[in-house]
Amino acid sequence: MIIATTILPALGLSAGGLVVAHNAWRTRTQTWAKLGITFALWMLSTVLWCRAFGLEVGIPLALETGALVAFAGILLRAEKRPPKDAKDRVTEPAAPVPYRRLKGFGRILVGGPIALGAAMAIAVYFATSAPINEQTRLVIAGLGVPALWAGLLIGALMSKHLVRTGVIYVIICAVCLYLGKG
Amino acid sequence: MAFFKKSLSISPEFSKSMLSAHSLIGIIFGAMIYLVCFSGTLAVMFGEFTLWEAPEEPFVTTEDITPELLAKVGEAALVKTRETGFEHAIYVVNPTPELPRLTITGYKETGDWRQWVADKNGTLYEPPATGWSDFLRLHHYNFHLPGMIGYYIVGLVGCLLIASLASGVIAHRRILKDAFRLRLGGSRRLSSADMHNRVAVWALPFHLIVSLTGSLLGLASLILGFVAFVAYDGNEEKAWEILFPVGATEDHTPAPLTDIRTVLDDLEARRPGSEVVWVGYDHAGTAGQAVLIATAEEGYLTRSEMWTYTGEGEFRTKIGYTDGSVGMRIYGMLVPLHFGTYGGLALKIIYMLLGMGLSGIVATGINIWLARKRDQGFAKPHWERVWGTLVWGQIPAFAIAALFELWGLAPALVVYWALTLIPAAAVGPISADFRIVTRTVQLIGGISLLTLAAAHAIRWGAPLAESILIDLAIASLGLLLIRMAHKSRKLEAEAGRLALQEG
Repeated sequence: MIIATTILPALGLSAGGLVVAHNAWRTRTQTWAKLGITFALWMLSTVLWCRAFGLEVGIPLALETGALVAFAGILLRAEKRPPKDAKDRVTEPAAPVPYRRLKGFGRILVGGPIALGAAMAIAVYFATSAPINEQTRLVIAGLGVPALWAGLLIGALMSKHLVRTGVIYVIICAVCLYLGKG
Repeated sequence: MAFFKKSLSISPEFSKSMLSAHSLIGIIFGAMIYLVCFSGTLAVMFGEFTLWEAPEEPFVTTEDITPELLAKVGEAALVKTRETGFEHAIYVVNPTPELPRLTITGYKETGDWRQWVADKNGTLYEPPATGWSDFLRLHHYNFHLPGMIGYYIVGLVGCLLIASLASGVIAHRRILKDAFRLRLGGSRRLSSADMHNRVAVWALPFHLIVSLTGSLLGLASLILGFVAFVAYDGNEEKAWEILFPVGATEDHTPAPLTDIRTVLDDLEARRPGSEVVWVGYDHAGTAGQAVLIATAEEGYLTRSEMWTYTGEGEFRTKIGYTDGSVGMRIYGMLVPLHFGTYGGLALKIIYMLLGMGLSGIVATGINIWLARKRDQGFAKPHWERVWGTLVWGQIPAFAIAALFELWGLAPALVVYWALTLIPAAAVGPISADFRIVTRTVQLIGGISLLTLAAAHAIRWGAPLAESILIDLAIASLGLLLIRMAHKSRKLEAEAGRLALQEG
């Protein structure tokens, strides 16, 4: 029963939204209107999932099935190209980068333990100081660590001024720990 | 309307730095991320695989569960765990539709554990031999490393995955322009890049959810330990107590096990018609013991609520996964969101497909880098062979490990690592083209899957419909791999012919 009343219509709405979005992408005409229709169809699909399974379960289901429907649609319209052999090229090796190993070690140090320390310190500050329920503070702080660390790691890997980045992370760590402990 | 023509206003230089950060993360930690994603994809079906591996008695269904049976099993479990020294905490896990077993796990204070299964009469037996499923689970949880270090490493992999996803999305300047473009065949770099970007972007919410929840599950103890160290003067217990006010005390004087019937009567009054998922006894059989009960809660992502009782069977608290603080509700969602246990078998299949997509993103990510190096004239044939072997070699490694466990020939752990590391190390120095190596590994994978399905059918016959379905799925996957290897050989021959014509 639920298949006929919810699952198939919801999948159909997701697919419909995808078709309209694809049309907007392909024709490049009335783009905003078509994107509006896409959004409305995807929202309707989400509403169907939520009505049948509740808000908490419905939203992830809408996102996950939507991703699969989208990918199935893209696969169906994949452009098949004739096989092509890679050309063998040989290039002269690039000039060695000075202090390559040292810089690599520095990036790992700043993006690894130092960034983790800073992420943890921010989490500690949040866990001890945020004006919300204690359990919520702890859980959000915990969830924040992987995301913060990932962000700081990207910062370290991108940085052109690694020492400055490292110093900033250390300062963040020290300040947050000081405030968190206080 | 220039919506699709203009990309996000990110400077090319910023994109370049982001892309280089994205590549660095992938290259350094690609193999670890891939191993975690691949095993996680399989681990979604852990319950089903456990039953498939040993489809033998004793089976217990949810209808068989009564307070009397749980009380009897609890008493028997206390005796068994005391005999073996695993009585620090006892968990009695009720059967589910996918795993109709009443499972008892006893823990030592160190975290070491041992399992038994019970029949409908409450008698305990050694568990059926499920070495491969257990191996699969632990491989994904902690790489079989002792203590907490393995969990931390897997948690770290989750963080790296978040960093890769975020940097990949930011670096992708044509995210809207290429939203629907998928070019298959032709240049290896282009088709890998299209596959990598399309799967990564369209399934981004799933990828972010599993990596974020996975990293927190892996690092929870480290994070909480650190928070406790700074904020609660090193008292980690206090931090845990805020989240889980279980209430067991350190009074280890022997005492009778809490009468679970009294507890279940009280629970019935508080939550009429509740279905018990598991019962836990912390500091079991001591004066300081406490009881935890998880009940099934439909309509909530967390799927369960937890209740705690004192050793005397008096109600202590409800943890609040369904109606507690925002934090507890989020915490309760972590495991279901990570393992896809909130929507039955259909959702598990969706999770497997999306997990395969995630593994594919990692695999194609390194492929893109290798293809780019080749296009730039810095081909790395050694690493092309190693990466192809590692990626496709996971299938024969897991399949042959299962075969060895099935016939009791060798532990899955040894077989798996031997089949993962030795071929990857061996193909590096040989001079064969990486495509031939990859194809050979695919072919071996296909044959080993077919052999596994046949061997399982011979070993167990057809005791359960689920086993037959899994055998059929394994055999189909095997055939698909063989076809893939054959097709890639044909395509390669075609490419060679075209190149000759052009040349």
